[in-house]
Amino acid sequence: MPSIRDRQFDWKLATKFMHGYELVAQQPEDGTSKYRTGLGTGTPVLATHNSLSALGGIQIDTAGADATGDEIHWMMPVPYDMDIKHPLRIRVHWTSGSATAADDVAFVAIYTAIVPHSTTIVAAATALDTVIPSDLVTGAHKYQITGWGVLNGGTFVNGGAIIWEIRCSVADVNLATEYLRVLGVEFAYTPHLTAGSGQSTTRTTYDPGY
Amino acid sequence: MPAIQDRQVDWKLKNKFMFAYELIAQQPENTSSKYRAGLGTGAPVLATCNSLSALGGLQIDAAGADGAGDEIHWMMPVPYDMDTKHPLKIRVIWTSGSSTVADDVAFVAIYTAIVPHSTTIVTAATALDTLIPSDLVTGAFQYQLTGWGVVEGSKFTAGGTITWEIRCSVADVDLSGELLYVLGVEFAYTPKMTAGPGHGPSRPAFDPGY
Repeated sequence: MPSIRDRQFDWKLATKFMHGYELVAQQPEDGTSKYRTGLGTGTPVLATHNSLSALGGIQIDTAGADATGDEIHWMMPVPYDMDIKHPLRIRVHWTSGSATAADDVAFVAIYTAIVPHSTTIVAAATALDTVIPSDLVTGAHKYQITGWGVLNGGTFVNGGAIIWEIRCSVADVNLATEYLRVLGVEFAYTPHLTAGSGQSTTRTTYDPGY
Repeated sequence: MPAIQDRQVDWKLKNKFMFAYELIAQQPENTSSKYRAGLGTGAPVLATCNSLSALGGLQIDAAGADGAGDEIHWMMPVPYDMDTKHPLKIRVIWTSGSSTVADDVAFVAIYTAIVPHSTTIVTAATALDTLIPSDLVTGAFQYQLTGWGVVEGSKFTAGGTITWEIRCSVADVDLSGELLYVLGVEFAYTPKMTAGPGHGPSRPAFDPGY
């Protein structure tokens, strides 16, 4: 019986969602304050949304350049089922209390690719090949999703890891009174689920557009 | 069109990664120190890897035999998409401050297979069928992966669960001066994604070698 491999499937993009709590969960707990201490500039921590009991997000108190704005740092393995020839996308899920529909909010993601048994683990330092597009507030405490930022294929090795940092570079939202919170980040990539070499380099994986 | 089942697909191994924080997240929070109390000997807790702002790991302060070295205990369900006829592999992701490339580091994993509605939940007690191979430091604070340890097929019940313990049995690394951290553990197994009996007993999923 012939075995079916990736190239015979019309895979759509695979995704991985990391909740806000997962992004800070690699941070040690603070033996004094009971909060996780935070690993990046500003050491942002989880906060309950204003009057919203259903979820917490990572509260951004300061927007700005690297080492100025609040930073969220975390590590993740290169997805085992990712076809590394193809791009890795990243986008940010966020909300704010702003009701000003013209308020601009921009997130920046940077990364460092880690090769096992070779690369010293260091903080994220490299810009995406396509940066995350700036977003606009659509209403107070709406569930908002940025457009995708993109890392081109061939950036990672199988079995490797990625060090990430995201921060808010621009926020028209009043961070002291309206609040801005990161609910999570999401990745999308071409899956490689079978033996064989995965999808061809010239074949774009189906993007369902959401 | 006839429906495709597992035996027609040349699956590669499927993977599950558990971050260090997930390994201790089942531990109650300690109301006095605010750290999670730790459930195994030594009660290792999450610590920021020395000077690395991007991530924390479980710091191993003592290596040794069962009941002597620091232990990390956790429970996980048998993966719902695992073909239990086939093996379950486990490896440890770790880093250390040692720059002595001959430094030996050995991790031991033991487990107990839990049958739902039948087995009393107990701590891990059974050795792997193939032990996790001993590892060597490749450089200070590099992202290191051990080789795979193996539990042979048919040890677990679909719908069941597994209690795990890992510890460091041997560490040439100076645990008080150079420090040793567990960043996570990773599992690999043959997937069972469709109706039908899954892959034949003599046909595990393709191992991509990473």
